[in-house]
Amino acid sequence: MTITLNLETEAGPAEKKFTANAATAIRYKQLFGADLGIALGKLLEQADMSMLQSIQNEKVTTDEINPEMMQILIWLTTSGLSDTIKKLAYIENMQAEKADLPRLSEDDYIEWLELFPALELLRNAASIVGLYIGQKAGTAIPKKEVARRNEG
Amino acid sequence: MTTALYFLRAKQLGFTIDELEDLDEGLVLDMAIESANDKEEYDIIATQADRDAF
Repeated sequence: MTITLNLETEAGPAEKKFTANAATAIRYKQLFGADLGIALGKLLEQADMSMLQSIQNEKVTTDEINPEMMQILIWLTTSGLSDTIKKLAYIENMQAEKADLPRLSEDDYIEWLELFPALELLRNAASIVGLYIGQKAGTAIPKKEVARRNEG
Repeated sequence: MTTALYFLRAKQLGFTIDELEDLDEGLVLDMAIESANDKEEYDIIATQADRDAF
């Protein structure tokens, strides 16, 4: 699954592609040594997608700041959850660009982060997280679970 | 499911990481569930007579 986001970059507005697929969580673990499922679980325990969507279309300017949005952005930053979102965005962008992911390092990630104004990726958290969660949905049901449900 | 367990299930299904780049995680998880369903055993299995009676 691939999406295109119009993002503000330090060089001006730019279209960036993001891809999430069955390898995303593995690439995340390979590069950052952390479990994406656990990290996102923590995020979604504390913030639902509607909260992230509420800041999606807000513009971040220094002269006009929506206080509710700022509260969410500050909370994402101070809780450490912003790190998960930015790292996921990096993996998704590298997958879309067909980068040689096993060769990427945390230094490459930090260099990539410098392309964007501080809050730009967080402002688009709903799309970045939603892309990954959307391709995770399945329909199969374990037979054991069906049997348990029928017994009850 | 942790990433390690997810990757283990994907490898058990025979996928390489490059092949996973072309699939959704939901499909791989569905396949892992169906694979486990194939191995499921039941204490009582309906006979033809049970099915006819039903």
